[in-house]
Amino acid sequence: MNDYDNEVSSPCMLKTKVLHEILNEAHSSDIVGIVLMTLEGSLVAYTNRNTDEDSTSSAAIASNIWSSYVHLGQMVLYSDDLDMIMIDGKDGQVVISNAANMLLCIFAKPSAAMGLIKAKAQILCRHLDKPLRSLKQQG
Amino acid sequence: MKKKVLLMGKSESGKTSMRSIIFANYIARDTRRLGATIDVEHSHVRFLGNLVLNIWDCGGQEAFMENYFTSQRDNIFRNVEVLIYVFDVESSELEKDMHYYQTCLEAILQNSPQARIFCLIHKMDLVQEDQREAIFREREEDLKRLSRPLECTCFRTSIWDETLYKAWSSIVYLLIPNISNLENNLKKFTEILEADEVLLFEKATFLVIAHCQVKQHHDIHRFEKISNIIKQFKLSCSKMQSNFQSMEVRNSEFAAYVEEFTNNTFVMVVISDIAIPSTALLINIKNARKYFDKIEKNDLRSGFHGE
Repeated sequence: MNDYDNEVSSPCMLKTKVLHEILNEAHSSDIVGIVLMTLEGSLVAYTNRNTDEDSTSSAAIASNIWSSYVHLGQMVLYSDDLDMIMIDGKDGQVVISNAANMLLCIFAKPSAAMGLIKAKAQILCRHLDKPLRSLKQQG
Repeated sequence: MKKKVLLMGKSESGKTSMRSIIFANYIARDTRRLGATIDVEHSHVRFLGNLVLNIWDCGGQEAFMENYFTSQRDNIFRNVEVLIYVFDVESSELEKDMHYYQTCLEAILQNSPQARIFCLIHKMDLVQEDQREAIFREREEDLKRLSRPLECTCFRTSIWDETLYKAWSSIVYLLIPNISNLENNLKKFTEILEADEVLLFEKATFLVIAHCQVKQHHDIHRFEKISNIIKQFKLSCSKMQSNFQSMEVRNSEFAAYVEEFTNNTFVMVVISDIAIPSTALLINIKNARKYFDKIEKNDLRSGFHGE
């Protein structure tokens, strides 16, 4: 008689190649890189059209900026519900958004249209939210 | 669940040293301190959590050996799962060694005919490197012939290199309940990770208990080499009062991760696609952990019921 007290349910795992494809699809001529990272800044997946740059440091800086603004929001607005950060810089534009406790970061050229990048970020986050959420629950 | 393992062989053939290195965290140098084993030394070694290997390290001095074959015969040779017979490659009494071996086999045939038999040609480090293979093949042929109708598997071993791990990994592999279930799951795991290779080590001994290989590799001895290297590293960590938990090795050709996995195992994942970030892999390993934990628990329990 076999007596299992726990049901052995399948684990939820990340298919890295598929994730990479998804990020790749969002690329256009204006977009330089797309990075998916943990809240601490560790890279989970990335696509980088600019081979000179290292995604690791960009990711670390982006996550740092995110946590600074979350902290700021807690102090000033009494809310940690940060939705999106958009940075319009001289040498490039950045959009940082949140998908199931991971950060999605899109790096674009200065010529890119911010509205378009924002839309892409929102769509990607919406698309990735559910699968990433089920991934988190397993831990 | 207890499995009885007999470790036999002439006096000073290296049985206790082997046992100490694999199961008691001795390094090769430490075995110099060991003295002759008196009569039979019983050790119960926990392996993979619930599995208890009941190792009968039988002292090899003649007086004891005579005893085993007469008054203690039934007691010693009954219910044996595995017989490991150790031959010292430099022995000057080959005839006598073979005679004792055959007497053991007779006792096994009578009391535990289903037992698996392993012959370890030990102390191979004392033989010149270019002659090792030839001498081993010669002994192996003789032993296989003498062992009929029983079948024996031969290994050449030395405590000074990884060959010891290869022999013991193969021996212990046979004792693991439901190994095919574990291997099937490991295969699926490897496929999802898109890894080149995944190894499962037993936590205490670092013997490779299962592996899944997707990409061909030229070195067939890599498993035991890795066991040896990581075990040594683990021992040096404990000497510094810290516990070995995980390791990441990266170069331009591959990335390898060694992580604590279930309660009783460590996992090693090797990936040649270095563009995949570590975090993604570590997330996957973490998520698979619970699943393999449950499998392990169920396997060990159902194995017990199966007895």
